[in-house]
Amino acid sequence: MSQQLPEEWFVRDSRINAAISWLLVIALVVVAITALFELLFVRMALAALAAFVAIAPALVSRAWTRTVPWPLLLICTIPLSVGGIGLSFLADFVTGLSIAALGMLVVVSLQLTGRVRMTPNFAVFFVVLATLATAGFWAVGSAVSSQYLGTVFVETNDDLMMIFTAATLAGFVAGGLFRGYFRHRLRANLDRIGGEGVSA
Amino acid sequence: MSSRTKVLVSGRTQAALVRLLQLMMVVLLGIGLYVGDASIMTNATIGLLVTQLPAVLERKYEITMNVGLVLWITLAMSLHALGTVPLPGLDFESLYGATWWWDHMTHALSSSLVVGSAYAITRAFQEHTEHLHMGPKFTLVYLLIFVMAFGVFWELIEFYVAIGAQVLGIPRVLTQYGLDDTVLDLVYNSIGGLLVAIFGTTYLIGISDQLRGRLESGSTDR
Repeated sequence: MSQQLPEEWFVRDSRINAAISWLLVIALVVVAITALFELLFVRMALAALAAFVAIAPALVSRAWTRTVPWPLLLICTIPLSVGGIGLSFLADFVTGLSIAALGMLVVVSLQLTGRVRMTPNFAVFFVVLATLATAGFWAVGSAVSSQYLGTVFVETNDDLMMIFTAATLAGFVAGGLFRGYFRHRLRANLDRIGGEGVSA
Repeated sequence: MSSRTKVLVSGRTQAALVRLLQLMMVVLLGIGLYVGDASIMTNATIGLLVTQLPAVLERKYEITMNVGLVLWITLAMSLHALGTVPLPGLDFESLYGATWWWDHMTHALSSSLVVGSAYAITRAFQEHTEHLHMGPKFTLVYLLIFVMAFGVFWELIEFYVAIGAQVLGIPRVLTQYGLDDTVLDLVYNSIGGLLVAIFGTTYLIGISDQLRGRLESGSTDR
């Protein structure tokens, strides 16, 4: 897999997909603005980031129909409806998967804007790292916030370790899924072009 | 001429320091064996093994680390090993237990090694293939993500090693002190990593180029 991650794997160009995606983006912007007024900054950042990565292909190519697949975008918005971290192991795991999906879309957006180039394998590696790191940054941020702003944070180290475990599992599962998908796409490309030009 | 001799001398002093710190870890291992403490034994042994790594890389892959890098690795490992040993000056408490800052210092030092390795390896890959490229700003973000992810993973290892030790009824070799400590570990990891990411990368270019050389000769062999 020594080629650049093709952004096209994460961009659809169809009117129906674009219409649903744009509706989701409008909803995300509304969520981001209300979160801003309620001073829920993590929620705001998450919604804004999801909205941005959804329309990044459209902005870059100046064609409104080019957006990310709406089911993937929907997966990215799961943490916004879960309502918090540490409620249940399964919810944390799903949140982790969702963060990984968002991480991959961020990579795709960065590639589209020309800031960064990644190979498919490195993108997978990066997304797994980003999922684990998000759990870490969340822990540090929440600890500081509970100390100074009186917000809620987990009570015991064991609770935090369960959240980390869920995030780590989710990171590796998501990484495995992405890797499987990439291999599938590469093989499909090879079959179509007859083994030329893809593995260069 | 004079500046060159100075570098040579300081290089020799650094090499002597490395030997001294390795000797200290051998002594610590001896103490661990003598008092029958599994934690001291394990940590001193791992420390000694890791400090052999530069020599192994040299012998097997012809990758030469300069003595400053070797000293950096040895210092991080030996200070960690030293921290686990009960010391007479501290009423036979370990430095990890007796001071509030030893744990933070070793976390920052060890994670600086992690980020250093990550930078050297990632840069080698970037130079090796045109399909991987990250600008300086994104590299900083990447290294910060790397050190935080590694920290989370490390805390999980500590946690499950302790659980495993409990289940099997063997003494634990790694310790978690509680929620606040875990969060502080992550903060100090990031500080150590950030310092390397900002100030340390120039010192790693040499080793990174050698790694890239290995990558290149590896791909022509095939």
